[in-house]
Amino acid sequence: MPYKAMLVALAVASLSLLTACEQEVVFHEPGVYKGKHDETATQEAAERRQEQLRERAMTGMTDR
Amino acid sequence: MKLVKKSGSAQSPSGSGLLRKPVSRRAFLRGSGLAVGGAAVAGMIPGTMVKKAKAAKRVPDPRAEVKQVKTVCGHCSVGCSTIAEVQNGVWIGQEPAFDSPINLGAHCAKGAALRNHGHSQRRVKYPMKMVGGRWQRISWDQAIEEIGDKLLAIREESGPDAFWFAGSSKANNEGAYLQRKFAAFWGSNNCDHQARICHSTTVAGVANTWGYGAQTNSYNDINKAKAIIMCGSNAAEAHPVAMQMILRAKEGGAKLIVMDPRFTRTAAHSDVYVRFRSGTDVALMWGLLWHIFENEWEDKEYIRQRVYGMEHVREEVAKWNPQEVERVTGVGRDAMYEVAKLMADNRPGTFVWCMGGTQHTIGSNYVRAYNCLQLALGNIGVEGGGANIFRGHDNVQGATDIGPNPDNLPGYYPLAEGGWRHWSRVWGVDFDWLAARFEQMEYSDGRGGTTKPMFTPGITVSRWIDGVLEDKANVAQRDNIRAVMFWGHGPNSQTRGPEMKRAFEKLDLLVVADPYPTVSAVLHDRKENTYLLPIATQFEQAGSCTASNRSLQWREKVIDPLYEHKPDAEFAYLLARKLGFAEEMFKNYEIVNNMPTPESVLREVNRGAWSIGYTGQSPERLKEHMANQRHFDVVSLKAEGGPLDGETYCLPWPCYGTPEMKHPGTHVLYDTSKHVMEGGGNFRANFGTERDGVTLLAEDSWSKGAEIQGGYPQFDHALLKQLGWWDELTPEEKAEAEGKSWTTDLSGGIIRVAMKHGCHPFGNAKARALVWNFPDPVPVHREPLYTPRHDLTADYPTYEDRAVFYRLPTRWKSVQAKDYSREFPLIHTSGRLVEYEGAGEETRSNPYLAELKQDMFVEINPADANNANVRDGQTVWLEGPEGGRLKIKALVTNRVGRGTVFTPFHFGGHFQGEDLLAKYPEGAAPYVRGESTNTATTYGYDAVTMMQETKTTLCRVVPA
Amino acid sequence: MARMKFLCDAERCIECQACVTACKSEHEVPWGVNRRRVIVMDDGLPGEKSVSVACMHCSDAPCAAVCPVDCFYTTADGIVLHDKDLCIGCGYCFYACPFGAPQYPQQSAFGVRGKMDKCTFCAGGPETAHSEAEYVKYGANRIAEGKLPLCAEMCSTKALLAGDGDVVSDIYRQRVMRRGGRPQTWGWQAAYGNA
Repeated sequence: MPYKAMLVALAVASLSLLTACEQEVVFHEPGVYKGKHDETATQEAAERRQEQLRERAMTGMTDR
Repeated sequence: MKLVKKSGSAQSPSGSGLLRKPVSRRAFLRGSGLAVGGAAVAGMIPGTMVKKAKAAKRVPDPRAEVKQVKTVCGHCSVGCSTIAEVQNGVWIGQEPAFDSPINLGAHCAKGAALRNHGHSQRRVKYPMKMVGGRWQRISWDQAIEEIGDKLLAIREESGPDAFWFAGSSKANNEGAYLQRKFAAFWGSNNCDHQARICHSTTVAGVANTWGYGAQTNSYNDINKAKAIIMCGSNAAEAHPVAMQMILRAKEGGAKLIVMDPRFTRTAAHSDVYVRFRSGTDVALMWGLLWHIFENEWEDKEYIRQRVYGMEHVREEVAKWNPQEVERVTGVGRDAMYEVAKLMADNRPGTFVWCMGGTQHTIGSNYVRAYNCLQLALGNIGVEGGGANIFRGHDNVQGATDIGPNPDNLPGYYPLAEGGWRHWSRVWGVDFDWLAARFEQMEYSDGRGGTTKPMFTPGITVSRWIDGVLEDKANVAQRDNIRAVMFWGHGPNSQTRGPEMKRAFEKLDLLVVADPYPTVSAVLHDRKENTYLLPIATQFEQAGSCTASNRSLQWREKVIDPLYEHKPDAEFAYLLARKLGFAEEMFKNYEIVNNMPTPESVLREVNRGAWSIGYTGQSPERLKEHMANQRHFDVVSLKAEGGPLDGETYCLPWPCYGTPEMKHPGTHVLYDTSKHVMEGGGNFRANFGTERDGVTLLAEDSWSKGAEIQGGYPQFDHALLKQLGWWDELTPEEKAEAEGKSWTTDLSGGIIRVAMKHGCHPFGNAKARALVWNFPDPVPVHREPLYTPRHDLTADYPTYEDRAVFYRLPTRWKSVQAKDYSREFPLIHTSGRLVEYEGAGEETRSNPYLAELKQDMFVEINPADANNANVRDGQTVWLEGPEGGRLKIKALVTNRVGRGTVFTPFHFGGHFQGEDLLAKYPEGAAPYVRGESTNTATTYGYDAVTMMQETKTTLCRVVPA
Repeated sequence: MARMKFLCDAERCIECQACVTACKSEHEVPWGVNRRRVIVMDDGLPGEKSVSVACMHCSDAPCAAVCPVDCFYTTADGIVLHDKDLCIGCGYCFYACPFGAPQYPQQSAFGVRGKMDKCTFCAGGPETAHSEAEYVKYGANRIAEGKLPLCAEMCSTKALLAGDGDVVSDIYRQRVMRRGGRPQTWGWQAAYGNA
C-alpha cells in the first residue's frame, strides 16, 4: 500500500530529524508563560501607572 | 421547540461557572442568559456589519487629532453627559463624563452603547418612495418636490387640517420648537408628539394643581429625601442612572417604598413593596390619606397657608376606609398603614411616578391624587420632597414646553387670540396673515356652538387613527386626516394596532422622517404615496435639550450626519420653502447651508417663552455650564465658586427674565425658603384670586425676601402701577410693558422689577387640591374600561361618551358597558426594558443592545400559566378583547401576581404572527423584531388630555 | 504595589447591563461572546439580587494553572492576561474558572472552538500597546492610558468598582459604613483568598 509506506517513511524521517537537532529542542517547563512579552505587564510599567490609576479611581468610582 | 440555540462548544451542559448558567428568569430568551450561538447570529448579521465594525474600530490614527466632544445621551430624561472621541470625522471612542453632576460618568446599557449610533448600518440611508409596493431610492430634491406637491393638493381640496404630523421628543429644543412653528405656519394645530402618550396627564395634573407641568425637584435632590415612594415607576429599567441617587439616599437612611402591580427590579431594592391591582391608584392614594387624616399626620399649617380645597379631598377620602380600599385595590389595612406611617414619620418624602401612573383613562385623576397626598404631607416646595416625575425621552420635557403640542403654543401660551398674538410678535409676522393660513370654516365644539380652527386643539397622536378612520360627519374638522407624517416617532407606541394598520392604508400620503424606517414603514400594505426620509440623530446636530429636572443641557454635534441624513431644522426649512412659508417662518434665524443655526433658534425662544422662564438660558450661558460641569454640587446642583458661582446646573426653568438678569435657574420649584433670585418661589397664581368667596392666594406664606408678605396675583402693568413700582421701569421698558403682563412684555421689564422686590412674577397663590375645571374636580376612582372587576363598575362607573373631544367622538361608558372579564380574564399591563427605548427601532438596531433581548415575551404568574396550560418558554398567543393577537413567548414568573400579565412595549416588526422583514428597505431592518404589545391593546382615553390606556386592559393567553 | 481588583456591590447593582454593553462597545466584542455578564439570583422574587461578573483576575489564577500551553501571565499589578497566538481553545481554563469567564467564539460551522477570549481588565494583551493587532485580538488598552475598565467607569449606580484593591475596598467600606450593613464583597474570597 503506497499510503502505509508513505506513513512509515514519514515516521522514520521525523525520527531522524529529532536526533539531528538535540541542542535546539526546548524542554517543556510546566507553568511558565510561553507567550510573547508584554511591555505593559512589567513592574516598571505598573509602577508608572499606579498613581494615575489611583486618581482615576478616586474620580470615577466615588460618589463625589 | 428549541429555546436556546447552542453553539456546541460554547455551552457544555456540564459547564460550571456563573457565566454559563441560566442566570435569570428571562434567561431562556435568546441572548439574555447564555452565550448565544454564533450560528443564530451569523444568519442575522450581514457581512457588511462586520466590515463596518472594523472601520469603526477604536484604534486611533497616531497622525490625526482625537477630538473630545461632550454630548448628552438620547435614551431617557435623566440627561447623562458622555464624551465622544472623534477622529477624522469618525466616532472612535466613548468616555465617561465624570464631571457631570447628573450622572458622574455613569450610563445604563443604552447609554454605554451610544457609539454604535454613529456607525449604524440599519438606517434609512437615502430618501425612498414606494413604487408598486417596493422601496425605490430618490433624491432629496425629488422627495421634497413630490411630498410638497401632494400636501399642497390635499390642502387645496380638504384644507390645512387634513395634514397631521407627529413631531418628536427626541428632537432638540430647537428642532421641536421648529416643528410647532411649522404647524402654525402651515395653518393647523394638528401636530403632537410623545408627551401625549407619556406624561400628558402629569403635565395637565400638576400644572393645574400648582403651576408648572414638570418635575418639581430633581434626580439629584432625591439625595435629601427621607422617604421615597415610587408608584408606577420602574426606574431600574427606565431611568437606571436615577437609581444612583435613589440608592445613595437609601444608604443615607431613606425608606424606599415601591407600589406597583409588578415586582419590578426597582421593587427588588425597596424596603417596602406593595402589590396592588393595576388601575386602582386613586383608591390606593385615598387609602393612604385615610390613615393620614385619621391619625392627623397631615401638615395643617402648610395646608392652611398654601393649599386650596383640601376639605373637599377629605370628604372623598372618608369613603376610602381600609375595607373598601382592600375590596378595590387588593391591599390590606396593615400594608396601607405601614406606608402611610413611613411617609408621615420620614419627611421630607418624595413621590416618584411614571407611565404606570399616567397611561390610564383617568390618568389625570391619578396624578392629582398623588399631588394631594404630597400636599397633605407638606412635601411640595421643599428640598428632598416634591413630585419627582421621571419623564421618558431625552427631550420630552423640552418638547412639551416649547414643542409640537396640539393644545397650546410654545411656553404653554394658550391657543386663544392672546397667545397667538404674542407669538406673532415674537415671530415678527402679522397676526392676520397667520390667521389666514388656518381653515376659515368653523368647527363644532360639541356643545352646540362652533369654534375657530386656529383656537381649537388639534387631533392627538393617541387618536390620529380615528382622525383617519372615523366617519367624516363625526370628525369636528373640515375633512378627515388624509396625510400623515411621522417625524421622529414610532407608531407602535400607540394602542390599537390592527386599526392603525387600516388607518395607514387609507391615507393619501404617508411620510416617515426618521433615522430608522420604524414600524410606520412596514405595518401596512401600502403600494404608493409613501416616503422615507433620513433624518439625523441627536448626535449629528447640536442644540439644547431639557432633562426631566428642567435643566437645559447643550449637546455638541458629534459627527456629521451619516449617509444622506439631514437634521430636523434643515428638513423643516426645505419643506417650508417648498410649501411657501419659509421666508416668514425663518426670518429671524441665521441660515447656514439651508440649516437654521440652533443658537439663533434658541435666542428666539428666549425672546418669547417668558411664561415658563425659558428666557434666561442663552446659548452662551448653557455652553458655559457644560464647560464647567465639575463646579456643580451633586446634591444641590449649585456651582460652588468658579465663574458660575451660585447658579444651578444648566439653568433649570424657570430661569426668569433676560440672560442679562442672571437668574440662577430653579432647582426646586415652589420653595419659599429661598429668595426668587436664588431659585426660590411659591405656588402659581394662575386661576384667579378667589373662588366662591374663598381666597386662592397664599396666606401668611411667601418666598424669602419678598416685599409682598402674603399672597399676590400675577404681575402685569396694572399691578406694577398699583404697587408704585412702575417708574422703576426704563422708558424703553415702559413703552413695551404698557398694557402687558409679565408673560407678554417682550422687554422683560415687569419680571425684572418684580424680582428686584423679591416677588415671583407669576404671583403667590395656593396649590389647588380642588381643580374645578377638570371632569372630576376632586379625583375619584373609576374602573378601567376593560376591567377584570366588572362588578365594581356600578359603584365606580366611567364617564359618559362625548361627541367632540379633541375634534373626535370619544367613548367611555359604551365601552365599559360590556363585561369582557370572563373571556379575557387577565389584566394586561406593559412597560419598559432597560435595553430598549420607546418604540425600540433605534435600540433594536444597535447590535450590542439587540443581542441582550432577542425575543418579545409575556410575563405570566405560575398559577395563570398552569390554568392556561402554558409552560415556561412556550410560544403562546396573547389575545386582546378587540381582536389583536400577539404570538410571543411565555415567561412564567412571580414577578407578576395572579391575574396580571406584563409585556414590554419596545418590539415591532411582527404583526399577529407574521415577520414583516420583507417589507423593510434592504438592509434597514432592525436586528431584533417582535410583536408590538400595542397590537393587542385597546380603546380608552383620559378625559382631560386624551392619554391612551396601556397599563390596564384585558387579555387571555393560550398555547400557540 | 497596586493590585487591580473588581468589586461588585450587590446592594447597588440594578441589572441594567451597562457594564455589558460598555465592554462590547469598547472592545467591539462580537455577537455571542460575553466578557462580562450580569447574574441574577431569585429573579422576580423578594430578595432578588444581581451582580456583574467577568474574569476576576484571581491571585493564583486557576486558569493559568491548568493551561496546557501556558499562555497565561499576570501583570505586575495583578491583571491576568493571555496570549491568543498560543491558545489552542482546549477549554480547560473554562472548567477551572470559578466564575465561568473564558469564552470561545465559534470559528466555523462545525462548532470548532476558537481561541479563548475573556475580560482583560481593559489592559489589552501581549502586543504593542494601542496597535491594531492588540485591538483586534484583545481590545482596547485603557490601563496603558491611565484609565480603568470601562464597565466600572460607566456603571449606572457605581455598583461595579475597579482599580487598586486598596482604593476599591476603601470606597466600598465607606459606603457600607454609611449604609450600616454587613459588607457583601461578592466573589472576593474565591478570587483573592483572604488577602
